[in-house]
Amino acid sequence: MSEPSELASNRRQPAQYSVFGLVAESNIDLPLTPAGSRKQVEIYAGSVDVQGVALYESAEPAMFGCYGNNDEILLVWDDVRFSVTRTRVVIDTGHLEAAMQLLVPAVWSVVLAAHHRESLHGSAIARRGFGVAVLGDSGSGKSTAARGMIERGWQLISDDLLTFDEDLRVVPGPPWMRLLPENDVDSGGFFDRGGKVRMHSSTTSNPVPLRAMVIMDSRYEHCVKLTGTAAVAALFQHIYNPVLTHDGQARRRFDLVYALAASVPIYAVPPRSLFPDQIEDIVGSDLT
Amino acid sequence: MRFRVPEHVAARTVDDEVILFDAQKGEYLGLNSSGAAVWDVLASGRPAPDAVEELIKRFDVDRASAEEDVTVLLSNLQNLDLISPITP
Repeated sequence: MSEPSELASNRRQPAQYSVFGLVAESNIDLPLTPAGSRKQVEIYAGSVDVQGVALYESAEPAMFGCYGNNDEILLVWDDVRFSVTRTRVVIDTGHLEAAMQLLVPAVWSVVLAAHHRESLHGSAIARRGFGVAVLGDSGSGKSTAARGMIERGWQLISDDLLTFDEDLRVVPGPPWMRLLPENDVDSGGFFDRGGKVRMHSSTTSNPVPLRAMVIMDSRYEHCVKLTGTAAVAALFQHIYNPVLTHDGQARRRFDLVYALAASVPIYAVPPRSLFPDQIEDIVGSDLT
Repeated sequence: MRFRVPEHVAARTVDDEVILFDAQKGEYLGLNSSGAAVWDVLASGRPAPDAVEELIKRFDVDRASAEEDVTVLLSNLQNLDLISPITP
């Protein structure tokens, strides 16, 4: 199968990128943070055949399938296919833009899982070496809350996907945020395939420990501190990709959620109600 | 009768609660403070009557209530395959 012309024209000398704490090397020009370390994952264009056991399939709101074939995970959308292993990602598409929007963070969550790292769906910002994570369903206001803090001088750690290092610090993500169109004010961004505006935002250079986590949850009418099983249950609701793709993953998710619940204060607030003043009250005056 | 915790079950304490995770099913069960007290006794290999005494001592409940609570929780844990009797 010949290489799609769009990917062929994008090829150049391989470069290294930092992607959620892993070093990727690709000869495709990727909108990611450059890295100077030895590669852990290779990203390249090629042919992807759909085979293996169906782990998840859906037709709505868009066609998507996830398949397991020994140590390979196949992710299939109607216009792009990815083959993912621990050491490489193969992209099969005639629409490079679509592929880039899916590669990070959606496909990369599977690469992280292959490296035994689990992820949550949320945004995190940092100030003076400590961070706050905001979790919630799509459209609940996570990124909008994070952007409000950035306008107050905080720095983005990661938007959309949160993953952690061995010390439970949030790992820096790619240099962008995704906002609902009604919350985008002259950001200079562009509409992505998910209908959100993707705008550039610089991120922290290093992993950041969390001072607090705030979960947007419609079951709560005001800010409540969660403890015990309630905290664990709330975090479990916001696993980035619920589909299990690798052996031992359920246990690693539990270990992550438990470790966070046991060490980081967790609060619940109603969706779309989290404002910068409230975040600063939660984390304390020493970070403001 | 004494009990053991199956290999597929992980128990973690958060605040004063215990969370039991079944790695085979990918499901978890939370036990409140009294349930956690019963679990701690049973998971350490001590018999059910010891759990009854623990509830009476720590939570100031009468014996009949404590016995019923331990019986119900033990039944639930066994039905969910979160604890297993040690057969001699």
